[in-house]
Amino acid sequence: MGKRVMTVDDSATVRQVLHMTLEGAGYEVVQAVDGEDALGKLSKESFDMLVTDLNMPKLDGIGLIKVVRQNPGNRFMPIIMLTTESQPEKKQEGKAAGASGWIVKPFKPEQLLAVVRMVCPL
Amino acid sequence: MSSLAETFKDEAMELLQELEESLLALEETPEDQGLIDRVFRALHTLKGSGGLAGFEDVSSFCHEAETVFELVRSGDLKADRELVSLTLAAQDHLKGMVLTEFGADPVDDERTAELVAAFQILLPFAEQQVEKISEQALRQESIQSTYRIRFRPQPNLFRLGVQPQFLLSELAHLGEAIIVAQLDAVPPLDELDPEECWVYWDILLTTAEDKDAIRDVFIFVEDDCGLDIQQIDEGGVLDQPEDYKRLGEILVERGDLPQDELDHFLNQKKLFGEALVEQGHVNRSKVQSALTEQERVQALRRQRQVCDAVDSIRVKSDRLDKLVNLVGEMVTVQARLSQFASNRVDADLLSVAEEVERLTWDLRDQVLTIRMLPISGIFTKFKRLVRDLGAELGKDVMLVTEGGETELDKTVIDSLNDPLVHLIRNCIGHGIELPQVRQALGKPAKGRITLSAKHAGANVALTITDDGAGLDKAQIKAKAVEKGLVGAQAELSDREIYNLIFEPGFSTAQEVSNVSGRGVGMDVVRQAVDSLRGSIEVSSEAGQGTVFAVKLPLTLAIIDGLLIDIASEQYILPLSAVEECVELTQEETIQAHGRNLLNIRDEIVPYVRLRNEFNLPGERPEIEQVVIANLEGFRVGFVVDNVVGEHQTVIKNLGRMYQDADGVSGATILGDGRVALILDLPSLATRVETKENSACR
Amino acid sequence: MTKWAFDPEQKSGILAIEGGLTIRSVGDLKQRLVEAFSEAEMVTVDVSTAEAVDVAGIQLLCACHRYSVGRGKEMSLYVGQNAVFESFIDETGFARNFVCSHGKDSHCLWAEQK
Repeated sequence: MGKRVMTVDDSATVRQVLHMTLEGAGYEVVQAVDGEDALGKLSKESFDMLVTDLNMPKLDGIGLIKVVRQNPGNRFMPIIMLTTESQPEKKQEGKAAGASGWIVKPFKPEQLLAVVRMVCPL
Repeated sequence: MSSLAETFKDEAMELLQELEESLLALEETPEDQGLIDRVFRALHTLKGSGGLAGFEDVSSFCHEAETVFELVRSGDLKADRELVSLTLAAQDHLKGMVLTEFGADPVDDERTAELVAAFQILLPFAEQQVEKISEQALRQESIQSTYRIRFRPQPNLFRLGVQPQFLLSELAHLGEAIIVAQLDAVPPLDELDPEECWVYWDILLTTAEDKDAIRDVFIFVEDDCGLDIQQIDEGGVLDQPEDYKRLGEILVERGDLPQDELDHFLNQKKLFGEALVEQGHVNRSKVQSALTEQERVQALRRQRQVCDAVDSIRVKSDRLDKLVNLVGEMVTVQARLSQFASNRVDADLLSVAEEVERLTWDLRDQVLTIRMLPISGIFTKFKRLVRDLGAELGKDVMLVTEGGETELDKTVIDSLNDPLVHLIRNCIGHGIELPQVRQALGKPAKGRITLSAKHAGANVALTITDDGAGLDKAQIKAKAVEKGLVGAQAELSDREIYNLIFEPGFSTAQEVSNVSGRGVGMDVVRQAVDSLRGSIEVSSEAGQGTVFAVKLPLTLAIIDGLLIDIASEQYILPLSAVEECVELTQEETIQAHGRNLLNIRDEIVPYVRLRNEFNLPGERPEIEQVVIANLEGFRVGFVVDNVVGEHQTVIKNLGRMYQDADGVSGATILGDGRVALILDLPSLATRVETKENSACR
Repeated sequence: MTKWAFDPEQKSGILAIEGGLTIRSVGDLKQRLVEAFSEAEMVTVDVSTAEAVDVAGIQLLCACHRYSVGRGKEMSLYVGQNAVFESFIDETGFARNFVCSHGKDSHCLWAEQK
């Protein structure tokens, strides 16, 4: 049974790294460029996990997590947020919004996979 | 600011200047190898000195760029305009990173992440992953400790999208875990909010990992959940009594029972656990969990005591090495004594000499067994390696080990690690298919790698078996032809084809090894096994899997040798390879018309005349002796003047200058004090084979 | 997805859980279980065809058992050949060979079947 992951980041390079790493590990990946784009795609299909950046134009990561958690279908979906070293307070904010975990940028592919394994293993 | 940082700042500014200049020049002449090297070196130096000066962020940032330029240097990647611009941007960013420490505005972390990602994308996928994994696995110490963990999740766990079973399974992968779910906090159905988590867990984990690794598993939930990790048994320490804590003590330690209640109960006559439960002070599941802990630790300690024997002591291995050396010298002296005694007609001396001989052999055997260790020590390390590598490559693989109790000399075990890591990596990378592929082929989705060890005479046979795709003969041959290792017309047996993968220059795998640098192939495995005086064979069946069979000697210190002489020089051949000795007369040599072939009972056996190989002076005798050796299935003769006889050979390594001497694997000291070289038959045979081949072409 | 088969004579019923026994369905399943116990004295929960299971699902069964004991009713579990279910309770430490002591002399759902 394959697992579908949505990745959200406004940086194309980060999106690409996420995509390659997760797909290489056997996940099916759908990309979104910001919170609004993600919400649009999430309303059409269902996903097993959401990986989202926090700082994004339009709808930011915290906002996205809050909206996603309100959808009954996504209440228990694992959500990983991408933070940076310089914003530890965002971690708490994200958790309060309903994030399952986080990974600090920059990360190595194996670190990403280790985190993913804890919340949504294949 | 310390002066080290200042120094680094100056150096960094110079390096960045150099980097910028080289990059700009590179933009003009992208193929210029000298410029590429300069860029690489600047990045490399900056990385190294950054790490030393405590600028970790600079160092790791440089690492990403450096890795990319390594590919450029090897010609696998072009230094196009895009890469140059990226690196220029990185150079500016690096300047910012360095200056941050000296009062400039902090750099934007988001930007750092983006640049790193941009570099990472340029790497081939495998390159990104393989790094560090084996290092992690290798760094693990084999000392196991047991931890008691109580994990009490916050009720809203599920609503954060966290499933405790995944955390438990991560934990179970760290070692051997006994998991008990505690249910006493679960309310009856009508009072339960089914989306809250009221179950909590007691886990006993025996692992080589430290507390931090365990804590890492719970990193996302740690702040809000109850997490208590206590080390209850330390594997490294000996002389602990096998008796572990009593049940009551465990319960009090865990906070499941107050001390005064314990005291109260101890005054009663009943079976303690039963009494506690009966009177409702502690529920049965907690008592059970405590009992499990008690049993576990006792069992572990018993096990260890079996391993270490009751009155064992720890000895540093270098002391053992000294002992082995001394025994080696003893063996040498004893040989001299025996020789001396047999030349004298003195019955008393002879009987003392025989006595000394017997004792010496006893001593030798005893000392060698002291250094023997069960191979299970390294086997367990590979479990983690297999799992991590499998996960990184999207493959589901399990490792089965057999014969972990098989004992081998410590030095052999130590040197086995790297080649085995390599072989296992190879099995996962090339052998085991992706789960989808396996299912489509009707195989179980989970791949299986079996690592087994057993004694076979004076050797230990190690096999690494996978149930993957098997080797592709046609592909191997095509590649070998392409690399110029064999001629396109060459008729090769399956075995010869498989063995091509061990040829230097065959592998193109750009794997990263922390041990031996980049671009390591299977030839390294062969070399490592050879240096242990072992042999490696590979066989395979398409679709069924591949078997690597490694044969290793039990010890490296002493071998049974065959003493021979050529032109009054004495040499030792390893007896294990020798099958028989035959004579070779002048006429036979002449009849063979200059071809070095010998007819033994209708079998044609090629031979090597060592006198010629070693350019020894003097005439060869009328009748020479040929020692027929079996080298991995091939019979090859070695022509010598005389066969003197068997000789217990204490191996001495050659000095560093002669380490690479072809055809010689070591030396020994003979009874009369002379030095004899120990011949490396396989390499002598290939030397001749190459000559024959080039003569035929 | 559940199926409820009730035998009014015996006052016993079987509640078969056919889809997932997971966090996504526990809210609904709780209702089904409460209804089942309001009707029957003896309820067998059949998980032999449950396709997925998680901690929330197992916890629900546990709470249900506790509830039945509290009301003097009987609950039993039918696992059948459901390997997913069996390996899950093994791996998460629910399986045990002793009884959990909620209420007097009660058996435990997760104890090995006699």
